[in-house]
Amino acid sequence: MNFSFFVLLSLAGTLLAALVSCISAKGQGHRAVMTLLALSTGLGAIASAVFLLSGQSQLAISQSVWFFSTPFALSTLSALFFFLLNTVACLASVYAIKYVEQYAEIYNVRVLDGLMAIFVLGMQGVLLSSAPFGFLVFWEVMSISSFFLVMADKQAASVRAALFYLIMTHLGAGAILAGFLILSGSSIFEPFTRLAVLAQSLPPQTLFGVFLLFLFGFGSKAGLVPFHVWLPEAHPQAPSHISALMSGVMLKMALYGFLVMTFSVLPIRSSTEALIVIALGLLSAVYGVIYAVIERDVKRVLAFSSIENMGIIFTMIGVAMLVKSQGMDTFAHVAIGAALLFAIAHAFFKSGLFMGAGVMVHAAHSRSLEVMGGFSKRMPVFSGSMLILALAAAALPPFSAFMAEWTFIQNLVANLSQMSPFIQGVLVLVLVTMALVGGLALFAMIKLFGIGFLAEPRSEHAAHAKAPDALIAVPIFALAALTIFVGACAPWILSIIGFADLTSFETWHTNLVVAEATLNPLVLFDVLIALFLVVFVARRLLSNKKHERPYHTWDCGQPITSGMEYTATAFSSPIRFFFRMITRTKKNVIATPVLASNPWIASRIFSLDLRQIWYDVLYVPIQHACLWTSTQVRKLQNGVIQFYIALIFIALVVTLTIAL
Amino acid sequence: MSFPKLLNRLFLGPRVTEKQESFLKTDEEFETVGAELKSIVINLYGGRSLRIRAVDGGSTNAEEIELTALNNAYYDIDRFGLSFVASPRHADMVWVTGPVTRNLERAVRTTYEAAPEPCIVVAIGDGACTGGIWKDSYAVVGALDKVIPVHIKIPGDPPTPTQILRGVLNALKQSSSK
Amino acid sequence: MITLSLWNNVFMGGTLLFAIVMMGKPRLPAMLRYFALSSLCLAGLIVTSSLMHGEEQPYTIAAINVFFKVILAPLILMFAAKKVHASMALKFYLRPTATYFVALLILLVSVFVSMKMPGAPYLSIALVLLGLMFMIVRKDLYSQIIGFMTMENGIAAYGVLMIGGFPFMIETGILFVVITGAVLMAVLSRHVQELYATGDTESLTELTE
Repeated sequence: MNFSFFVLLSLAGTLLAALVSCISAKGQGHRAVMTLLALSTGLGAIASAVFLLSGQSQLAISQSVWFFSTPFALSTLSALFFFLLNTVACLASVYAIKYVEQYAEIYNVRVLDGLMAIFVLGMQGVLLSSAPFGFLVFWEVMSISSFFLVMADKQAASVRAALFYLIMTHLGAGAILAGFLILSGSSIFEPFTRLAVLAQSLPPQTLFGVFLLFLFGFGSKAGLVPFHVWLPEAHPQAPSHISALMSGVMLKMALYGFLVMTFSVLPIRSSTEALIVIALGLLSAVYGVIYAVIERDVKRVLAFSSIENMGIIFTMIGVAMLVKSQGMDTFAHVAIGAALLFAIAHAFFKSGLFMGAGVMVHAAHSRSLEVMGGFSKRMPVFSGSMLILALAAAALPPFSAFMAEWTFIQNLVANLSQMSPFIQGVLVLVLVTMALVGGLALFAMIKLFGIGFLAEPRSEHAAHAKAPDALIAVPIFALAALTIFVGACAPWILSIIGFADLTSFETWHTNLVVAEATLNPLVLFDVLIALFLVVFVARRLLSNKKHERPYHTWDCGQPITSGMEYTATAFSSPIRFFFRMITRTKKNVIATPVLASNPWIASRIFSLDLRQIWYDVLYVPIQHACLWTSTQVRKLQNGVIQFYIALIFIALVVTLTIAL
Repeated sequence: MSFPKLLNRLFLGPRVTEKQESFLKTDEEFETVGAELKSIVINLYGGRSLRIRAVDGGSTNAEEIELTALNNAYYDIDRFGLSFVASPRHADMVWVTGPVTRNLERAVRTTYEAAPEPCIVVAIGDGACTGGIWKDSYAVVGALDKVIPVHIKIPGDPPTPTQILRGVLNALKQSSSK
Repeated sequence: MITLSLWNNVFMGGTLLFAIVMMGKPRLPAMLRYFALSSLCLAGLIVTSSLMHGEEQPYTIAAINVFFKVILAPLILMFAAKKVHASMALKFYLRPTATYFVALLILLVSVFVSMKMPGAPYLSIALVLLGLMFMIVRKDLYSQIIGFMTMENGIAAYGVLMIGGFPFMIETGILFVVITGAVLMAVLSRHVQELYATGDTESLTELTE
């Protein structure tokens, strides 16, 4: 079957969607564009899925003269990410049909649709390129279109976040370009395989420098601490389906780039690089999860949770690099398998959570968790899907993230005794930190779901929430179902993407096998369902229904109001207190006396301020240094033209002296 | 004062304290009522305690002090199998004191409705039984039976602990005979 | 041929000489006159150099050169200066004698530079550096454009002496630059004169803030 035709058709469809949105009249064409985008991305998803199932490992797509003869090809890894991208993009465009119509006065709908299509096109192109030129061109397309998408609602906060994002992403792109240029000897039309050959002949210091450049470039896009500062600003300001795409898929593009560079192109030699990656990964995981627990803006919670998840994935990759440099290839292979499974899980549950956050924000007319609540009674099906997604995000069985973490930790523990003491120490540190992060992630998700959905609504808007439209709720439900599917069928998925050594086939079901420990996710899932059913049926049969009298919650005799409920600030205060060195909360109480005669009767205003330690330690000093330097240089500007020309003259004379 | 004078005062001076027998004799009536109550509670509730939720419907606190006294070391109703609980969801019996004021009418009603059936309601004190001296006041709803159905009334302002226990015993005998 | 190379040298010397003399002239009409003479010698240089290297039709290019640089540009600048009643006595940072001394230093520097760089002839380097220096030491606006045009002369001399003929494209480019510069400077100096009542660039320093 000619997959390449379908893949190209998918790309063409996306491009066509962008064009149609440009030429359509104002106010119409939104549904058509979104449907077209959904169809083309759906086609791409199906094509890549069939490619993966067919077991081919390489597929050349095209190499046209029009595009400087850069090759486009599909490998197993890029087909996996292509599938993730297209599935999420398809569901996001279905979601966007009704979602954007709700906000039609705020967004310029045509521009939003066109930019979304270009964004998806950019990401598709990044995955299909097998030479640096195409990679960088589509990377830039992706970055610039997402810059405009972040400031789609044209508010001051969005524009500021978008500019911040633009600076960071261009610094990263510059680093990636520099890395490619150094590797390829100034020719960026060579395919990656040729780059791998060229890299063998470079000296180790150059390779280390190139690795650092790639780490900065891809790490800043993936949200590794300390390059992450744009992520919690930019993701909340974008429209929800764009946030879903950015957080669920764009971070995976950076991951894909990093994986290709580190494992296919650069030869792994030293353990320093691996230790740096592990350190940054663990730092991101811990930092992200602490802030996910503390934040009260629902989208910021999800953005920090993304930082934490990417930290975990990078830790897994770092461990793979470390043990590969020691020569243990099977260990490394399993660790990469776990990282990829976690990436698949993250793509689905994070996109679903962001789209659900869009529904929550629309219902409560605010992004703050403090005014939400009570959605579970008013939107039961939607709340059910969000519960599944939140539990998946907390890495609980039987969902997909749990399978990935189980694989990784089981592998780690099984091979721990065979390592040198230093490596053992590092691996134990990784294990301990991942346990801490797992616990805190659960805390964050409980806060998100408990305060956002349960109890009574905390504001008028939340009390009047209605169940979302089918076109909005179905993609979220589909993503929740996909999370369960990936979790239950984890061994089958691993065997498709080339990690069949992690599975073993028994009679009629496949197990997940890691170093003599087996886990059958499907059986686990079935057992859980069976438990639920048993309890449900038993209760129905054994309880005495005719003596049951429903009555409202015991409220100690006084009516319960929503002001008596737990707030997100209160719920997270133990963690905020424990980590106060990092979070630097500042509490401010301003008391203004109401009566002049009695200073004790006063109206008090309380404010709680969160600052991130990175701003104070890293970014603000750099800002001050740059401004100080500029002020000093400005003293040269005295306004006399002849002085400037004299400076040119002196520069010319000096240059001539040096050159001759 | 000097030390010999102190010794003189202590050993050879007049008596100023009560004799032990005058206050330490046991209350016979209270004990018999309590023993009977214990046997009927064991009978009715299968070896478990009788759980009581006490609601103050706006009393003068006289009845409340008597209820508190029931729990102290002298009377100690815990040995007869009666214990106080905080949540009406756990209660077998509800004790209401005081005439029901308008502010607390809702609280008394929701307490009764939150308690699972069968629940025995005991009105303690003159205020709960008949409305007392506040019967026609604008701030008071009236006797307890205007708010929730009452099974036993224990009059007195306040009733003594023995009277309270005898009232509870009668209530249990009534409900066990039904 | 001997006479031609003699004339070549004469024209080279003439260009340089008139450029140096132009440096120290305190009045605007004198400065423009000597610039015109310098450009005229450059036109002659184009003719003799092309003839020496065997190119044909150098006369048209020389004639265009003459027309633009010798006649048109000074005329535009004089007209503009007369229009705004600018003072004909130009101000400068260095006295004429000091200016000539600095010009001598620059000639020495360009000797060394041209010895080190075998590709560039002495005349072009000297003209470029002289033009730059001219822009530095003078305070008024007209000197800026004249200095700039002297630098253009130097580049044209470089082209002529290296290649022999003068490609039409480069010639057109240089001439357009010259004319545009003259017109621009005329307009700008008029504005500055109206705003500040002098042609002095010192009053422009307050524009920095």
